[in-house]
Amino acid sequence: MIFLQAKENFLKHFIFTSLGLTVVVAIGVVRANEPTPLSAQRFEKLHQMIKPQRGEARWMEIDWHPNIWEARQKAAREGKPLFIWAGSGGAPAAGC
Amino acid sequence: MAVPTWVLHAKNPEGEFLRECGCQWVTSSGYMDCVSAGGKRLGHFPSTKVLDAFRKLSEEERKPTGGKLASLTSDQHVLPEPPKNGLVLKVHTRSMSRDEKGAYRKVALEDFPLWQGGVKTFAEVNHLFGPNTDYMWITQAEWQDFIPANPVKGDRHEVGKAVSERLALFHLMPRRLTSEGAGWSRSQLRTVKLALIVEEVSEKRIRFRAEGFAHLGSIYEAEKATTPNGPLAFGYEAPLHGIVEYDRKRNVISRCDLIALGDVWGRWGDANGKSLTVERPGRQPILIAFELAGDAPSDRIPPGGNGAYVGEKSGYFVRPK
Repeated sequence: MIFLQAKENFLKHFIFTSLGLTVVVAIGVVRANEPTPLSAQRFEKLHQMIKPQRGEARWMEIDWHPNIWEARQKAAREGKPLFIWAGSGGAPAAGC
Repeated sequence: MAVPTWVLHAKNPEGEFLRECGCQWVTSSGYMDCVSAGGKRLGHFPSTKVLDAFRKLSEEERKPTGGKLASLTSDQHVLPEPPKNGLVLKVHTRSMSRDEKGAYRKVALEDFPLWQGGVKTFAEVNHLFGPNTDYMWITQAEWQDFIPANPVKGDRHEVGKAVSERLALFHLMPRRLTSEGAGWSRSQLRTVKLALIVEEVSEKRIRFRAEGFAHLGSIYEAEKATTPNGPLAFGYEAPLHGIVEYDRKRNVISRCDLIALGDVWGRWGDANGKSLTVERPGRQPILIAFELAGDAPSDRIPPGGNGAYVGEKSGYFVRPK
C-alpha cells in the first residue's frame, strides 16, 4: 500500500511537473520567434552602434550624386571636375 | 557622382555623356573616372595630374551644355527617383562579433578562420564588414497606412505585407556587405512580421514601438554550422525593434528608426555562394539599422544603388497576392 501510495504520488507529481514543463516549453517555443523588448536606452545605443561612425568610412560621407545632369551643373558652378564612381550594383551603395 | 555601370550603355543622353567621356566599364567591378562637366576625360583617379588637366580646359569645355552634349537635361534622368511624398530610409548593415558574455563587439581579423591569401592588416579587408549604406523606399499610400484614424495607446497594427516583405527580401541582406547584393527570392522568405504598437498619443504626435521578426533562408542547424565548409545553406534570422513617430500637424513621419539584430549562418559570402573569406562557424551577428534619410542628393540613390531593384520585374513595389 505504501508503495502504491508513493507510486501514485510520484505519478501525480510527474504528471503535474510534466504539464508545467510542457506549458513552459510551449511558451518558450511560441516566444522563440518573438523579439525580447528592448529598453529605450538599449535601443538607442544599438541603433547608434550600427550606424556609420564619423571618420569610419569617409567615402560614405561624400554626397554622391546619382543624377548626372545635376552633378555636371554643380561641377560647372563650382569650377571643379567630376569624379565618377560606377559599380555593378551601383556604387556607393553596393559592395562591387 | 555615383552610377551603376549599366548607365554607360543606356540609350539616352546620360549614357551618351559617359560614352563621350570615354568611360570603359567592361565588367561588373567598380570603376572610377574623372571628367569635366563638358564631357572631357581627365583621368582615372583624383590626382594633381587630373586637376592640372582640368585647369588647361577652355571655359566652353567646362560647361555642361557645351557641344553635342547640350541636349542632356534633368528630365531625362535614367535612374528612378524616390516615390513622391514617400519615405526614404537609410539602411546601414554591419557585421559584428560577440564577446565571451554574448555582448556585441566589433569584428577582428581573428574572427574569420577561413581567410585565404595574404591578408596582413585589418584595413585591407574591413570594407567587407560594413557599415554599408543602402536605401529603402516606401510609398505615400504605404506609410499612411501605418497611421490609425483613431489611435489608442496599446493598439497594435500589423504592417502590411508589401512593406514588411520588401524590408525582408530587399533590405535584410547580409550580402550587401560583400557584393552587389544578390537578394533573397520569395521562396526563401520563411516568415516576416512587423507590428506598430501605439505608445503615446498627443495632439502633436503619435509614437509607435515597432516589433517583429524575420527569418530568411535555411533553418539553423548547429551541428552543420560548426563546419564552415559544411553543407549548411545560407540563412538569416532577426528580431526587429523600432521607434516610429508621426507628426500630426505636419502630416509626416518624423522618425523611423528600426534595428534588425540578426544572425547569419552558412555559405553567404558572395553573390555566387563561393566566397569563404567572411564566413564564420556557427551563427554570427549581422546587424542592420534603418533611419529616415535627409534631402541630400545621395539620399536619392535608389535601393540597391542600381535602379533595377525598383523595376517592375523585381517585385519591389508589387503588392503580394
